[in-house]
Amino acid sequence: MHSRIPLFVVSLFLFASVLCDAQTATCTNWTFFNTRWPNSNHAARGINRWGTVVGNTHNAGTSLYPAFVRYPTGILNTYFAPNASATFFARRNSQGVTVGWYTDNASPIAHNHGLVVSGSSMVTVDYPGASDTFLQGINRWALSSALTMTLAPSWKRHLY
Amino acid sequence: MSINDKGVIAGWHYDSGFSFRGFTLANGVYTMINNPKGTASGGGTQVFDINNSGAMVGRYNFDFAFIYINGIFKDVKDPIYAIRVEGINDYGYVSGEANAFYPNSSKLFTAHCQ
Repeated sequence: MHSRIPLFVVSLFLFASVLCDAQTATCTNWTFFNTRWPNSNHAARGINRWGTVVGNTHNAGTSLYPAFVRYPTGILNTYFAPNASATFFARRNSQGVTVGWYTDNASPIAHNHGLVVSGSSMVTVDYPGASDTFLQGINRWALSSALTMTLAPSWKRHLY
Repeated sequence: MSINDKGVIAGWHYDSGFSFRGFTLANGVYTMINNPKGTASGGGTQVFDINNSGAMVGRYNFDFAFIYINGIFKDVKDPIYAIRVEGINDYGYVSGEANAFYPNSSKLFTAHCQ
């Protein structure tokens, strides 16, 4: 009878191990890439259904902070919003419309403005009454989720 | 904060203890999305993106990436790098940064996770 106790303990340990493994995702098809400037501070914030990735990067040693679009073919394009010190792309929908925000060059306090980019068109979105607007999501119907800030500061979330 | 084609918004907020709390907002109803492992003081759960199947990605306790599928939280790990996952599409492909704790040596990535 005593000999069954260790067997039970081992079985329990194995069962627990299986449960732990079940809490780790199985990930395959890893593709690693750098932006135009390697070893930089960057983010891959969104991926649409076609595998196009959007985000932001930084040219280390400079003050350049562009946004980027990377296509599944590996082609990567960078973007600077006009009069921006930094540009960020957050999401891109299945129709290829990209949203994000940029930080302006205003002094002494810079502000952030929402961005909608479609093809060669770039439109700024500022929520009425807010000092800062960040467009963070977009779906196929072009509904955008956004974060805004007033000078208080008080953060609010909005749906456009 | 993100929105899927069904109009479900996913994001996070601070609670009164300054810990992160994840949520979804669908048809005016908030649902909390909190990883049970996200219990570190000042840690919690941040949801970054949601796809049309309702799968979500984010992080807990600042440093640990997760994917949330069918009500189950799963850690997303790379064999070599520490990672941060920020986006997910309808086919289960995620995007993010690898070796995210060391920004000046990090790489970006995509991977299929389930």
